[in-house]
Amino acid sequence: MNATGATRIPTVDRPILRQESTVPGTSLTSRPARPRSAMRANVFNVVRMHLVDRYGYTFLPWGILALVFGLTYAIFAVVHPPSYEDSATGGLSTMFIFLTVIGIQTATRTLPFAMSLGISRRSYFLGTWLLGVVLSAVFAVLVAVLAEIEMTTRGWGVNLRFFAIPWLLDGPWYQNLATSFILLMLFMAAGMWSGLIHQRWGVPGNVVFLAGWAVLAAAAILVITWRGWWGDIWRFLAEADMIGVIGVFALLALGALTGTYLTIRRIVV
Amino acid sequence: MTPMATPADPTRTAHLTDDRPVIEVEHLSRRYRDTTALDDVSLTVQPDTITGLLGRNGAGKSTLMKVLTGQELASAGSVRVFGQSPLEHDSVLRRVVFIKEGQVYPDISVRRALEAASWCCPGWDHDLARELVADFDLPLRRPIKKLSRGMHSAVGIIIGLAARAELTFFDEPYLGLDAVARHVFYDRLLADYAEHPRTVVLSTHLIDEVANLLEQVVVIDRGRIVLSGAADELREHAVSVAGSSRAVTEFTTGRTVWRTGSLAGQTVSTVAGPFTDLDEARAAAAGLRLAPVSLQELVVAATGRRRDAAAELSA
Repeated sequence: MNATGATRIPTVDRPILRQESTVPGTSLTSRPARPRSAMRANVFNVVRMHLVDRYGYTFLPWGILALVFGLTYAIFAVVHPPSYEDSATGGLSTMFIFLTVIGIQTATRTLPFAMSLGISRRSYFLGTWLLGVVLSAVFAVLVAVLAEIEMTTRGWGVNLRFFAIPWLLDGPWYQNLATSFILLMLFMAAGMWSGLIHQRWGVPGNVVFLAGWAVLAAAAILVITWRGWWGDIWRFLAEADMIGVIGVFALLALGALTGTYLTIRRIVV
Repeated sequence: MTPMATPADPTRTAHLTDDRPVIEVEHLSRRYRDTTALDDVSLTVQPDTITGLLGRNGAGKSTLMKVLTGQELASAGSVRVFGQSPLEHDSVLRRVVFIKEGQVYPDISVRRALEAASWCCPGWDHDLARELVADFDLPLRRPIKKLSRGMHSAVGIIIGLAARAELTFFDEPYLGLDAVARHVFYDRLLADYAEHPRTVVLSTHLIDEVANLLEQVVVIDRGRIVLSGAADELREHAVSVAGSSRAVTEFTTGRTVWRTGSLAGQTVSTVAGPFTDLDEARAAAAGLRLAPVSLQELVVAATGRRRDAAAELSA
């Protein structure tokens, strides 16, 4: 070892010691580097690493959702509202909150562990979103199927509106599938992004981050009011074929994913 | 390492001809808004050595390790690990493991954490991991967040050792570990290192405990390297002189005295070298006792109030 700093002491090579300690073939400094396969392996390792806590990603969210559904069902069975159309519950929001929490955890708990084991930020992002896309897709299929059943039975026999959220998830099945898929991704990306901000800049950073979005939203509302665009917006939301709305969500999700990626590339753990 | 060691393995022979240091750092600086964590640091670490990264709290040890593992970004200078920048290079990072004080884990059990670590470390040794779990008496089924501080540290140590990574960083890995467990760590590290030589960089406050472990020493203070070299070479650069105050004063005149303490006409001083045979004869004639200084004393001298002492070392 040699330091060019305040002090310079001659580098001492220690051939004797190294010969003693090196049994041929046992030294670890011998593996050639293969960049692509190393990255691919790490991407899959990230997926596996997340799934170590597989209950947290599968049974837990659906278990809690089932519980919430069961409770709401019981209440509706007793109260029995007169019509399916007018009833509404917010139970499905637990699903989206869950994806947000998962997103936060991937940034604050698993990322430092993965990086200590030599996984690059890029591989971590790719692995996490490989899982994120699959997870959102599977969950979206379940939501879409349950919404379909709900609409067919017109409220599970008790006028309970749980999955087929009015305006958002009460269209044709493929539309519900796309909407819920993109929304789940959006919530997970929002969680991960905010978790990364927290990891990098702590609570103050997150306050600024969230306040920044609030300010942005307020500014947008001001501009819309000032320009008198509300009428157009309501008309768009009310009439627009859901494709347009899905497009807006998709843009938001893409924006959040881009932000998440740019942030993770600057992350320090 | 001799190039003819294993002609059977072509990749290995190819690698051996390339006799690069594992770590090469040139003029590395890391500045934050109002502080400079690393200030023009340059160093190299040769393969198959155990290096102690020593210094006071906040000296820049952790920052240096983080930059070396691509976890922190450099403000200036260059860092090469296995000849490449470690930043975002999976092929480099896969050969590296970095265990730090208060390592964060996902909410999983000890068993699951070790399992996950084994996937990411190509050199992972399951038997060694099992033995270490027994040594540290670690409850495999317990969630990591419910472990005591010492046990939490033990998880990191087990991962760091069982990973058998070509380059292993331990940054103060034993928060809360008792003396017995710490010695288990030292013994295991040394034993496994002897069987599977690799490059280890260890930062610690407990200098006396690890002194015998270290082959190379890098002392860092306020972001700068103030002392570095082979551990036993460094120790020869200073000596403690004990005897009557008058004789000690006489002997140390004109030399750099790092510290000195007197009691009842007797004085013990730590003085910088070099020492010739003549010096030693002179000391013996004056009834002085010369003794080597400990690594800890050396580090204290290099990073303590007498900062100029370190600079004198090279003179």
